[in-house]
Amino acid sequence: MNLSQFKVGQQGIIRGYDDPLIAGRLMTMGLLPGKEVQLVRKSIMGECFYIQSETMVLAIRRREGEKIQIEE
Amino acid sequence: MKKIALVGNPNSGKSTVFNHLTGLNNKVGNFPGVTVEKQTGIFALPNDETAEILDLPGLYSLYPNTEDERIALEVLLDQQNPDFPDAVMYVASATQLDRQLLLLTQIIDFGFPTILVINMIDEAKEKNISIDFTRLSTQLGIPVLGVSARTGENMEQIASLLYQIPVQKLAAPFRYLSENDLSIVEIMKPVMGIENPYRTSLIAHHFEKLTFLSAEKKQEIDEALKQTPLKKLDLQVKEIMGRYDKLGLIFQSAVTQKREKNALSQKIDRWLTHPWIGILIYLAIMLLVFQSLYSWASYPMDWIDQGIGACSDLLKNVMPDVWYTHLLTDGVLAGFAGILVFVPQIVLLFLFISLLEEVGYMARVAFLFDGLLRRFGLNGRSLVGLISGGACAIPAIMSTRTINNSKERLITILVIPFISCSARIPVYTILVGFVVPSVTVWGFLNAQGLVFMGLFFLGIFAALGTALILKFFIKAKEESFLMLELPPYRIPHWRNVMMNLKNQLGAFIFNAGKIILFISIFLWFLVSFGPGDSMELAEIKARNEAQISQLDSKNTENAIAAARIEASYAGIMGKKIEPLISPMGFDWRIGIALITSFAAREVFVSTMSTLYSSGNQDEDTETLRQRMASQKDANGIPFFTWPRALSLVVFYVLALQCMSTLAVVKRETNSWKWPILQFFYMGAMAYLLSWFIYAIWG
Repeated sequence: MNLSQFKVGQQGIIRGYDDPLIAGRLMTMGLLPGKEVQLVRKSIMGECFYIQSETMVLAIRRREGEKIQIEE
Repeated sequence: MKKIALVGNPNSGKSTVFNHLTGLNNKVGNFPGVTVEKQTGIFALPNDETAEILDLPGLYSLYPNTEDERIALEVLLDQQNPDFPDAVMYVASATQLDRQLLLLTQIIDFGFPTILVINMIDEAKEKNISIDFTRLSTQLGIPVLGVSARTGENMEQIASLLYQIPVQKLAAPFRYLSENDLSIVEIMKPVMGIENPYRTSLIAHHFEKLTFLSAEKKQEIDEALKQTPLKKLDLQVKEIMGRYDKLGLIFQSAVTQKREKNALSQKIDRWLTHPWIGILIYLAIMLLVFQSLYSWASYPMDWIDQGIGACSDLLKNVMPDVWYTHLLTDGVLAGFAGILVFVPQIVLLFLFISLLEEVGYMARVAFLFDGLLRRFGLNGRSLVGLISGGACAIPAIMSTRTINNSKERLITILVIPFISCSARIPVYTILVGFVVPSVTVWGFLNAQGLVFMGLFFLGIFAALGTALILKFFIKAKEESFLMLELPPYRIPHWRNVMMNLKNQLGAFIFNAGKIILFISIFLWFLVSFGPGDSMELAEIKARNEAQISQLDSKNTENAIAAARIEASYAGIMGKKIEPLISPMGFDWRIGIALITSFAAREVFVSTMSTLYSSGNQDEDTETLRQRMASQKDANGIPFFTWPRALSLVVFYVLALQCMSTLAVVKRETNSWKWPILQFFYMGAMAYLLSWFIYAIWG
């Protein structure tokens, strides 16, 4: 499954990315495959995700979340 | 002088380091051809040597996916670039060391002499993170120093490290290239002639985006690379993983830390990033900002006005009554007033923005509003500009600097002047009285208040509608994405806030200010001179007529002023454009006011009172409105009918009647193309709607 299918509060492990460009950006920021990630909350209309991985907090768009493969 | 590039991730505390090192010895400009801000500063080394420090934008990598990354890559790749550094000072945060060193490994592989400055060691101590600097230094092969730019701890040691850079041994490459990349480098070597293999491979992967390469060179590279299959993006992911794997090992041996989530930031974010409570809190903060620009700033603005007015009176008294006195008072001093009057609002707005940015709140705003505003081609941060545009477009347009997507920033800049600013209020006040009487409707609402509100909404609709249209016409330079780090909340550092204020003010006064001064002098020329002796003749004629109708001295003065402006170049222009503006119901007098109020919209009121003067100069709006109402056209019918007034006020809602806005848009977009385009499309919209209104009801 991908991150956009998560419910608020759900956690999982990143398996990989479906888009090399998004992969490049998120990985250079430190969101690497194998790390745990939690969907903490969504913005109005579910357009943006507030996600947390270890000490890092990121804001991403739903479209970007669709490209992150997650294993529960 | 040595050139040092300051490199680091966003939120590494890089600008705190920069501000601490360079103090007031810094200047802000733009990288050539783009709107990315460029900060440089001078820094003293031992033995009377100095170094120039260039603060590159905060980056995560040297892969050119954003404009910031592309510019940084070009500065570090192109040896002909005037900013090409002799060495790199890399800043990373001690609290997030595990994921802030990827970019450093790229810098090392570029072959720059590099020092690693680990910032925020005071915070790291509090969080029980212990770092073995010696081990880190031997493993990376570069000098490593732990500092706190906030408290100043160890900051004095940076100078001696930078001083020793010429004798510093270069680190071995951090990561050796893959076989695929090595074969590419072999092919590229004769084309580029660069020894460093990692630089060569990055050029091979990204040459299409690099502007320092000529078209012929790109063609040559393209030809050369046809010999080998190049799997660009997959390779990039592999490369990142390879770098992280090695970094992970180094990190394990040199750093011990517990991975704790920031509990306080989490608690605050429960409210501040709540889907709708967060939006309400943001709007409340913006209301406070707006209130401060609208009312608090008015006191210092009045002082500036009065101060310049006093200077001008003083000069008029001590200097002879000749043209150069008037040039000095009505041209140059008026121009200075036109620049300085914006200073209070700019200071206040940037005080708020820098504080909110430093605290870490602005990144949250992007999260809250990204979804809503993206539909309009705007950005979460555009809201700061759009809301403060209700006070004044000048600071509002400057505030868009915090938007890092160039397309969203440009659209924000182009639509901000539609929002009704405080300078339009005097114009509305005069004219709304012609449109509706001051009566109460539906029991509690004032009809004039409703029209006022309608004018404000017209501006907002125009802004959003235009943004929607521009979204399809402006090409994006880069992929639009959010993927934004939300840093932990922290107490703002006063030095960063003050430096930002100083830089923004300096940029406004010395760049936009020049243009404002020039236009102000030009406008003075237009109203002060006419062809030949036409103005003198008009004055004599007016004086004679005043004598015949036995006007008192004050009324005589005013009649002369009106006659002179009619005979001036501005008057001639007003009459020349009358055929053009008459479809909107405007006559040549309004034409003159349109020209003079280009200095600032509120000048409309003073020009109208000069042109319609038969009474006092310093009268209030009510008497001016009465005199305008008593104006008759050639057929003896009152000139200011409500359709004419409505057409005029709508024109002022939509038209870009403000030289300072043009100057600041020129400064912020780094080209004349956008302010000119903006002037014409806003003018065209104003013309069409005013013409439409006057054609229907006029």
